[in-house]
Amino acid sequence: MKKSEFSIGTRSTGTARGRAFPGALTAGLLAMVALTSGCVRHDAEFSHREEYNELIPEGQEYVHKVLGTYFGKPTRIVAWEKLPLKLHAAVGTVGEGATSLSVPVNFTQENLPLRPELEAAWLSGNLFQKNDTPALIEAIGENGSVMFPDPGLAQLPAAGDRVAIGPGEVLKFGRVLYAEHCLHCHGVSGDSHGPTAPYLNPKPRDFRRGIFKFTTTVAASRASRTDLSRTIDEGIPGTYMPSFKLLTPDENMALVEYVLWLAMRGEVEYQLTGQLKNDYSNEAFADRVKGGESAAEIRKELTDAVNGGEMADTFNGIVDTAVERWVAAQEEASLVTPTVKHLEATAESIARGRALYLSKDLNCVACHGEAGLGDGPQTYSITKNSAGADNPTPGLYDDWGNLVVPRNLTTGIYRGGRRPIDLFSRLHGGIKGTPMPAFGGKKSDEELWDLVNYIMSVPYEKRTPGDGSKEAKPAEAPPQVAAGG
Amino acid sequence: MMSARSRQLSGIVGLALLAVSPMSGCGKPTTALGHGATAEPTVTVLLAEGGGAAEAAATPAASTAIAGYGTFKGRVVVNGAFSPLPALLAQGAPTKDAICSQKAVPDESVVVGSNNGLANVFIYLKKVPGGEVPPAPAEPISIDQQGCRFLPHAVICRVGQPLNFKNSDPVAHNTAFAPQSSAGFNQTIVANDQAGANYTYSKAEAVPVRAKCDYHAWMGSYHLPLAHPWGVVTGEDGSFEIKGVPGTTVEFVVWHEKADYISRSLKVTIPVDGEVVQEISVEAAKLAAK
Repeated sequence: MKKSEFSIGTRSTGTARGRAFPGALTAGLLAMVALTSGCVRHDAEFSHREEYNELIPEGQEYVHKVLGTYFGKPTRIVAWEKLPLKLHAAVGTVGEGATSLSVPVNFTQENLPLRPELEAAWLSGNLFQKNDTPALIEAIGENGSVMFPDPGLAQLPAAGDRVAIGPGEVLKFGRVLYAEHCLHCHGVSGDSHGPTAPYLNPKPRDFRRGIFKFTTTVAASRASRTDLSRTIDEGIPGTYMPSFKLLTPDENMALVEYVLWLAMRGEVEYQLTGQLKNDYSNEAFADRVKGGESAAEIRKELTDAVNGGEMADTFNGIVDTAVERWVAAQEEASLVTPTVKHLEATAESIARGRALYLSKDLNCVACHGEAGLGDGPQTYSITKNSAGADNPTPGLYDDWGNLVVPRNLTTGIYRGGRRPIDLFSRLHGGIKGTPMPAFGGKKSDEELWDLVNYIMSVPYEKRTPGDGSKEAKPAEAPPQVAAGG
Repeated sequence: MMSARSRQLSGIVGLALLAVSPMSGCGKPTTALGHGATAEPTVTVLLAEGGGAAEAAATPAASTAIAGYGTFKGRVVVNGAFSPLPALLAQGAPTKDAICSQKAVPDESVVVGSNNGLANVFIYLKKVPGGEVPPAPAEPISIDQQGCRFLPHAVICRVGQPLNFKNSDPVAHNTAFAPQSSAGFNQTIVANDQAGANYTYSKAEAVPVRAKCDYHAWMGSYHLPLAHPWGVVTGEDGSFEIKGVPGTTVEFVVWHEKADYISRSLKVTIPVDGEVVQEISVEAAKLAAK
């Protein structure tokens, strides 16, 4: 972001739009024509966080402009190349020997099958931002050359130029799928406030903190693409998140990228509003005025910080950190990797697991209860939120402020998946954003496998847990009601 | 519009691609909802060349010359009567882990000491006014869990300096916190674990972060990672002293877990080789239970 890019507090329309192709101009003209014929296009808008509404108007204006510039709107997506996402259908560099009808491309990324009517956009070199109509490809020839229909390209790209085939196509595809399958619960912005959400418990995930609960990455790490892909495939058993196994792998991939994109947009907003609220929330503003500063001065301080580029540094720092963390999460080092194979679920292993479950070291009982019913003493305790204030009702809460219930282990339903490695990951890395802590590094991998074996045996216990002297009593059959009675 | 020069400045160049405005809505009856979900999205590609990190490195923050250093000291005092808070867990109270009520667990959200001094108040520079910032110490700061309390209750660390969470109790604790700018942490610290678990901040926080234990809901403590050494937590009598503060006009933040901001910006002019003594007062009403 450059210094003069944003100016707030004045009537400006400064955004970081580059030079538009005439195509965009044409679209504008068409839209104007459309306007006169009484056909209005309403753009969908992303919602803002609650903290945003607590900022003074200048702060709101800044956050709104920044997000609009770097992420766009739900139907006017900005594909920002700084984000570590698969944005385009394919990316590559131009090879030697381009002609006006065929350009050899060395593809570095192929995300979606290439089809005619996709555009080729030159991302560097002489053709970058040239005023000619976008080049629609006709086909992909042998050895990866991109063919163009007659009369071909007006100007040739040079070898080494970067080219995107189907610019932003993955996000576009993801957005359409998201609108169809996800939006009614997770909301347009991924804020978990879709129209169906009020009727759901547990609540849909709010992506905007960048935190996903069920991952196979270590405690300190973000979720990996594989985790999100698996969640879409398998659903989250015991919740309203269904399985989307009927989607094709390409559709699944596009959805993962779109959800990650929403998560990054949300994270940037979370950090920006979080940094601004200390000095420029309405409360802070009132406090400072009471402390003797002039209102105009405070407003000027913010506009100066934005227009002088200080905020640009803050913004860049936020984006860089978010990018680093998402990139790191995709690396193999971030995966939970057991050092020993899954131990056989022998009676001894299960007994060792039970002992660990009850041990003072892990104290699983505190939340999950002695019998694993998810009714431990902590579910009756008054807990505190991150500000140190008491939560509204007894029980455990997650980072989104929702009451969460420790898993009832007797049901055999596991939200993050029922493979032994899923349970192992849960014990090793914890459930992110919830009170379930990580045990990795504090207990050996053998001990964690024992614990996995015990947990998986709980639904099949013949006796009620406790002293082992009582026979399990099956529930009585419900009374039969005659039809029509 | 962007000139070539501004492009160099920004390192980011916008490229608007063909935005085909779908006219499908025209001719069909348009709904009041517009075409949100069914609209064909358009895409604009925004290049990121260089990225923010390189730019930030290219323009080092202007550093003001600092002529010397002075001391800022004083006390934080409660203005008005404040009756001590009852214990969170009385001695001998029935609880699932006997160790917790072996001694009473005090409510440390407000600790008023002798002469109405207020303990556990964070006083720290809002931003570095310039000059040299000494590097962060490498030795970790230890936070123990003992008798189902965090000890110390309030602590300041440096970015890059590890926090080490230990456990001296014969029962499991975990330490969990979710800072604004850095990764969250939620790790079990098993019984009598003296090695503990480390967490190192990579970014400073604007206000202290609350760490909790989920096994024992009353347990809470505060820590604050700073990008500079000029911060302090008031002692039991409310006294504080920060040495070696840059000798210019600086801004302190004064923050307490119950009172929140006592001062968002306490401007103090530090004399070179001299000291400023200041009494900061807090209304007792601000410390009342929220």
